[in-house]
Amino acid sequence: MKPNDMDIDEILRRYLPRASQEEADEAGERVLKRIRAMRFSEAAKERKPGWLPKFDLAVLAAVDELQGEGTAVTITLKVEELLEERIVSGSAVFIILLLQERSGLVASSPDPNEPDAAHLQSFKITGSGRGALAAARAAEARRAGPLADFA
Amino acid sequence: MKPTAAEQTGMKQQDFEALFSKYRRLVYRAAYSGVGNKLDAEDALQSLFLKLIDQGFSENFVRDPAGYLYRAAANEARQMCRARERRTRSHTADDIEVLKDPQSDRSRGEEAMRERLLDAMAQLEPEQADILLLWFERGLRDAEIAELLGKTRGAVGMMLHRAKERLKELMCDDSEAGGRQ
Repeated sequence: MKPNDMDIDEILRRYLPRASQEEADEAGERVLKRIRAMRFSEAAKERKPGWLPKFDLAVLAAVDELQGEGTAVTITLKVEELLEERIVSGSAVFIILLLQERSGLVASSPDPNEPDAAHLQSFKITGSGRGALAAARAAEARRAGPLADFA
Repeated sequence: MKPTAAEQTGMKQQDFEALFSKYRRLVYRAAYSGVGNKLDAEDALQSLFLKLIDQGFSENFVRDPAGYLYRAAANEARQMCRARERRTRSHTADDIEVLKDPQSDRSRGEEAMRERLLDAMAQLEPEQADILLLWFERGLRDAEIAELLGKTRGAVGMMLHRAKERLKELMCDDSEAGGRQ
């Protein structure tokens, strides 16, 4: 199709996605609950910004590296690679993934062919997850100090 | 007791919730029009407001909260679309065969057209994409967009025209590239 043949107003009117007010409100409620838990709850007060345990950080980094294609198994293998150690329990990784999903750091999608198969669902990092990962890496770099390269 | 991240930037929960309540629809709908799915739009909404809590208010935000948040949401959506496009490009040969199959392409129908539109929108200059969104998604007229962006009505009309022309080109390029695969 040539550009002149295209009715762009019609295409925009017909195909530009639009969310209803109800959808926006429902999404807003879910997000507000997560933000309350992440930034205003008692649990949040116990954590410094950028704080993540090493293992959780590795799980988040693995999800990020697999670019939304990682399942519980491939993420576990990637965590092993990042930490350079064998992980005895893959279920530990899966539990952390579920906790990170509840905190809004990662989001999961079911496998289109087997939507009920938990081990086939894929995980991707969210904007908040990317922020937490960057903050945790910065905090780690600060702790390591200028001699980190000589370790 | 240790302060939360929110308290460190001086934001009280009550103030945050009032702000969130006022702008959540605006941000979600701008993001949704850019990414075309609920999950990513929700992610953009969360990510933007967390940044406000963690980094505090910028000068641009204080000057024009609605305009700032709208542009930030559209920008976040563009980044998500580009990331999604990169992932799509790295799909396997089998995936590409499915895309080349005319039968499967027809069955994708409207979904494929919407994806093509979103990909093209993500490649526009940010200001062009903002104007199109304000015009089509928010339903604002030239004069209202001009006021929001601090431009003349004539300039907005010209920018809108150019944005549509550029969008046509991008959609045609995309269509030809798809046909060549």
